[in-house]
Amino acid sequence: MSEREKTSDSAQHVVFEDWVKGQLGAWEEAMKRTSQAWQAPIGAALSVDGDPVKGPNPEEIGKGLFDFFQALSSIAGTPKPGDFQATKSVPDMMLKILQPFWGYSIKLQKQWAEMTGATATGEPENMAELMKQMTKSFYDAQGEDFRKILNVPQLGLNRYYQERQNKAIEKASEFQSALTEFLQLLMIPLEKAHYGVQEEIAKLEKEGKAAIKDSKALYQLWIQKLEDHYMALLRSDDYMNTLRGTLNSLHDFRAARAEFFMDLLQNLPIPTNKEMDELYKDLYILKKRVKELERKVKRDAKR
Amino acid sequence: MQSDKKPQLSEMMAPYIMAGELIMARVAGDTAKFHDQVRKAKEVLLSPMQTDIAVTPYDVVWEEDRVKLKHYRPTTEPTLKTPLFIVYAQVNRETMLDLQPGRSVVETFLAAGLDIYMLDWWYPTRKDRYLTLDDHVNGYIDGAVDFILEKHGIDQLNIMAICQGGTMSVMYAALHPEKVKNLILTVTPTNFDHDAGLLNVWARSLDPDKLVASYGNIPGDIMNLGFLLLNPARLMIDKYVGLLENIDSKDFVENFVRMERWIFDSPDLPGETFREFLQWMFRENRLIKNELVLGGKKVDLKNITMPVLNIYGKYDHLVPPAACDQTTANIGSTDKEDLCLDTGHIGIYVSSKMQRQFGPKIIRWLTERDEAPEPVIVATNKNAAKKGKAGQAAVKES
Repeated sequence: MSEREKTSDSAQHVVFEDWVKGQLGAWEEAMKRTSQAWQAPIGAALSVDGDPVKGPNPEEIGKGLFDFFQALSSIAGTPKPGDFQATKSVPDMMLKILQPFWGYSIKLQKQWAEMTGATATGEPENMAELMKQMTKSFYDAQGEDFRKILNVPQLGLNRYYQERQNKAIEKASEFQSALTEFLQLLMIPLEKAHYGVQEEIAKLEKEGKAAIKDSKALYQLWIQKLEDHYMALLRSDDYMNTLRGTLNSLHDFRAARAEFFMDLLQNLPIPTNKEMDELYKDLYILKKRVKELERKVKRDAKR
Repeated sequence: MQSDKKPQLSEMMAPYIMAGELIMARVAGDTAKFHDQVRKAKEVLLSPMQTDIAVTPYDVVWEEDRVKLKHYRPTTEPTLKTPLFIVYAQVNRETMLDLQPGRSVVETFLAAGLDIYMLDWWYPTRKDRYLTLDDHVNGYIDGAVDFILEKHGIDQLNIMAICQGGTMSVMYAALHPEKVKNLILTVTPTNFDHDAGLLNVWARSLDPDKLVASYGNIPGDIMNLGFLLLNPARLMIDKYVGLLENIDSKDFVENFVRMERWIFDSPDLPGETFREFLQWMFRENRLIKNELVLGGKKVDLKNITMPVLNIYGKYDHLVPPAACDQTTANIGSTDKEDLCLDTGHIGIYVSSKMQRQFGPKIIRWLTERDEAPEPVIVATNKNAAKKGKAGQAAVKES
C-alpha cells in the first residue's frame, strides 16, 4: 500500500469513525426525545419530582450529521500538502462537475444544522411546519446545485440515454418535493383541530361549565373541528395551487420516467406504451370506420 | 403575547397523539365493554360472511367492445309495456343499484314488473383511451338502445340514468328524442358553473391534457382518492371509527364490507372521454348553455320533449342541487318534475328510507306514463319550472 493510499485509508477511517459516533449519539438523543414525547403527549414532559424534564437539545440530534460533514470538509476542504496529489491530474471539466455537488453537500450540512437547531429556537411551531422546513431545506439545496449536476451536458454515444435518465431523476425529486408539500398541507387541519379542541375546553372552564369528560363527546367535537378545518383548507387557493403543482410535477415525472423506460424496453422484446398507443389509435380509427360503414350498409339495405 | 418557550417535539407531536387517543377512547369505551366487543368481533370476523353484491340474476344480451348490456330476469309478469334502460356513470360500477337483497333498486323494479336492461361500462383498458363522449353517447348508448328497440319491436323505450350516465343520457335524449319515451334523471349534473361542490372547484383548476397525457386512462384509484379528499375527516377517519364501534354486529360489518367493495371497485375512465368531460362540462359548461356538439350535431336541450323526472339529493356533496336544478328549466318538455330528496349522493339508492321512496316513486311515475299518448302542449308556464321551487316543482301540462 502506497503512502498516499495509506493516508486516504486513514482519512476514510477517521470520517467513518466520526460518522458512526455522531450517528449513534444522534439516534440515542432522538430515541430519548421520542420516548418522552410519548410519555407526555400534551404539554412539556415532567420528571418524577414534577419539574420539567430538561429536553434533549435538538442541536445534538443533528450533531452526528454535522460532525460527519465537518470531518468530511476538514479532509477535502483543507487538504494537507500531498494528500490529494492525484487531483492535479483531474481535468478541469471534472472539477467543474464535482464543484456543485460539493457545494450542495456543504449547503445541506449547514441547512441540516440550522434546521435541527430551529426546533430549539422555536421557529417551526408544529410538525407540519417542521416538515415543510425540512422539505424546503432539502429541495432548495437540491434545486440549486443537484439539478446543475443532472443538467451537465452529456456527450458521446450514450448522450441521449444519460440525459433521459438524469431527467427522470430530476423529475422524481421534484415530484417528491411537491408531494411532501401537499401531504404537509393535509396535516395542518389535524393540528388546528387539536388546538381548537383545547381552546373549546379552556373556554368551557373559563365559563365555569363542566369539562367534557365523555370520550364520545370529545371525539365528536374533535372530528367536527377536523372536518371544518379540512373544508376550509380544501377550498383555499393555497390547497388548489399545491394540488395543481403536485399533479403537474407528477405528470412531468411520469413522462420522464416513460421516456427512460422506453430506452430500456427497446432492448427487450416488449413493446413500449408509445408503440402500443400508436397501434391502439390505428385500431380505434379503423373500428370507427367499420362501424360507420356498417351503419351505411344497414341504411342502404332499408331503402 | 408570544411565548418565548421553545416548542418541544413532544408538543409538536401532541395533535397526532391526541387524535390517536381520541379514536381509541371512542372505540374502546369502558374496559369491560371493550373486552366483550373484541370477543364478539372475533366471532363476527372469523365466521362466514355474506358480502356479495349484485346477486340478482341477469343475462348479458348485447356486447360491443368492452361494453355489455345486462337484462335482468323477470320475477313477475311485466306490468309496463315499455322496457326500462338504465345508464349508470362510468365512475364506479352499476352494481350499486343491486347492492344487496332488500336494498336493491333492481329488485324493487323487478318486483313491480318492470323489464330492466342495464348498461355495464365494464373496465376500460389502455386501448380505450381514445374513446370520446361521442363514441359513448352515439356509439354504445345508441347501440344498446337500438338492440332493445329491435328486440321488443318498439320505437321508444324508457331511460333511467345515474350521475354522469345521466349527463350522457341528457345528451342522448337531445340527439335522439324519437327513441326515448320517458327520461328519469337521478343525481344528474347538467350545470357545472357553481361552487357548491368541491369537485367543481377542483376540476376547474386541473389540466385535463396533462392528466390524460400522463395516464392514458384516468385510474379509478386516482379518482377515488379525489373523492376521499372531498371529506377526509368523515371518509378516511370517522367512517372506520364507526366500523370499529360496531365491529361486533354481523349485519353492520356485512353491510359495511359490501359498501366498501362497491366504493373501491372503480374502473378507469377512458382518457379522451375524461378530457372532454372535464373541459367541456366542468370548465366550459357547454351542455346547459346548448353549446355542446357531439358527432357533428349540436346538443340542443330544447329537443328533449319527452316527460322528464329529475331526482336529486339535498345533501349530495358530489352532485349538489345546484348542479341538477336547472335541467328542467332548460329542456323542451312540458311534462317535467323535479324531486329533491332529503339524502346524499348514494343514499338515494341504498338507504332504507329511500328504498321506500325512490323506487316506488319511479314505478308510479312510469306507470302513469306507460300508456300515455304523445304529450300535447296545452300551455307553457315558464315560471313553474324555474329554479326556486324548493326543488319540488311539479309541472305537468299535458
